[in-house]
Amino acid sequence: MLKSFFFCNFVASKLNKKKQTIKNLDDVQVNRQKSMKKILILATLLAFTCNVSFASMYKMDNDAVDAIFADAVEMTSVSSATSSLLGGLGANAEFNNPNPWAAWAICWVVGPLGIHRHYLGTKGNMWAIYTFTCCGIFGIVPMVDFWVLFIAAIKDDISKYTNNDSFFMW
Amino acid sequence: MKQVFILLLFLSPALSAQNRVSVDAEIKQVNKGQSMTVQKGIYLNANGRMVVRFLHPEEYYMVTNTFGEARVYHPKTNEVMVMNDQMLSSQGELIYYFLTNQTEDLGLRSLGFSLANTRVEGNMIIRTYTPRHSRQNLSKVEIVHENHLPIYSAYYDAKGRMVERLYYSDYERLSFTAFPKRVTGISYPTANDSIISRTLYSNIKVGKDATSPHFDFTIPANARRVDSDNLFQQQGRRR
Repeated sequence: MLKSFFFCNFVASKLNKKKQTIKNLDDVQVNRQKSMKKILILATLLAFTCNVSFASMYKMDNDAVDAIFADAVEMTSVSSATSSLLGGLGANAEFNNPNPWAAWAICWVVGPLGIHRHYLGTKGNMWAIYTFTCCGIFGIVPMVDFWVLFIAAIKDDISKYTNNDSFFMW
Repeated sequence: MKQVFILLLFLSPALSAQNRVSVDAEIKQVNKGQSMTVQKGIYLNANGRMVVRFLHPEEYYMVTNTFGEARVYHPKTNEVMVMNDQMLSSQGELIYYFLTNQTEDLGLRSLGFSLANTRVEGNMIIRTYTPRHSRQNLSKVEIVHENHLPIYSAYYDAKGRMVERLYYSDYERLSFTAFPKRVTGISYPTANDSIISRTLYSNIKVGKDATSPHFDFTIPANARRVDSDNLFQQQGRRR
C-alpha cells in the first residue's frame, strides 16, 4: 500500500513536472510569439522611419521655400539690383569706380546670377551667361568669384576684375 | 520605293517637330532678404539648336547648338557676341537632359564623369559619379532617383565640400519623358552661408503644340558684332 502510494506520488510528481514543463514550454512559445510580434512591429516602424528620414533628406519642403521668397524684397532689374544692394550695404561707390567690398558683398548676395559682374563693369550679358550655365557651373564660378573678390578687397585692389569680359574673371 | 521615299520626306518634318519643346522658366534667387528674378523662354529644336529668350530683367537672346557655338544678342543695342565653347552648348541647360530622356545621369557622362558607386536606400537609388580627369572642378556628384526619376542631385567641389544641391519635383508626364516643373537649389558660397534658388517651369509645349516663332529666331544680319575673343579663355581684357 505504502509502496503504491509512493509510486503514485512519484508518477504524479513526474506528471506534474511534465505538465509544468509543457506549461513552461507553452509559456515560452507564447513569449516567443509575443517577442516576434514586437520585433516585427519595431522593424516596420524602423523601416518606415528610415524611409521617412531618407525621403526628407532628399526632398524639399516647397511651402517653406515659397514662404522665404514671399518675404524677400524683389529687385527688378540688374541696375536697380546693383543700386539697391549698394544702398543696402551703405556703399557710395559708383559704377565706373567700383568699391571692392561692395563688389564682394553683391557677389555674396546674388553671386550665382552674376550681378556682381555687372557692377564690376563686365558686359551686360554676363548675368545671362551665369544663369545659362546653371548659375555658373553649379555655383562653382560665383564661389571662386566670392573668394578672389574677398582677397582683392583686403588688398584694396580689384582692378584685375573690373571691366573683365572673361567668364572666369580670375 | 519612290512613294516610300516621298512619304518619308513629308513625314520627316513631322517627326522632327515631335521632339521640339518649348518651356517658360522663372528663376528666383534669394539671400539676405533680397531676391532677384530671371524669366526666360527656352525653345529646343530636335537637332539641338536652342534659343533662349531672356525676358527679365533685360531682354537678351542666346542661340546655341550642341557644339557650343553660341551667340548672345541684345536687341536694344542691336549687338551680338559670338562665342564658341562647349560650356555654352545646348547641353548646358539642365532641362536638355530631361527633354532628351537622359535622366539617369543628367548628362554627367558626356561631361566627363563616370559612375563610381550605386546604393539603395529604401525605395531610392543613389548613384555617385566622379570625374574621369582630375582637372574637373567637381570631385563628385550624387544623383538620387525615386521611381526612375531624379529627385535630388548634389555637387561637391575638389575638396569634397558640397557646393550645391538641387531638388527636382512636381513632375509632368510628357509623351516621351517626364519633366520636373520645379527645381529648387541651395548653393553654398561659404561653409556658413547659402543661397536659395527656385526654378519654375511652365507652359511646356511639345511637338505640334510647340509653334512659337522663336524656334526659328535668327539674329539680324545688321547686328553689330562684339568680339569676345573666346570668352572662356580670355584672361582679363580692360577697356
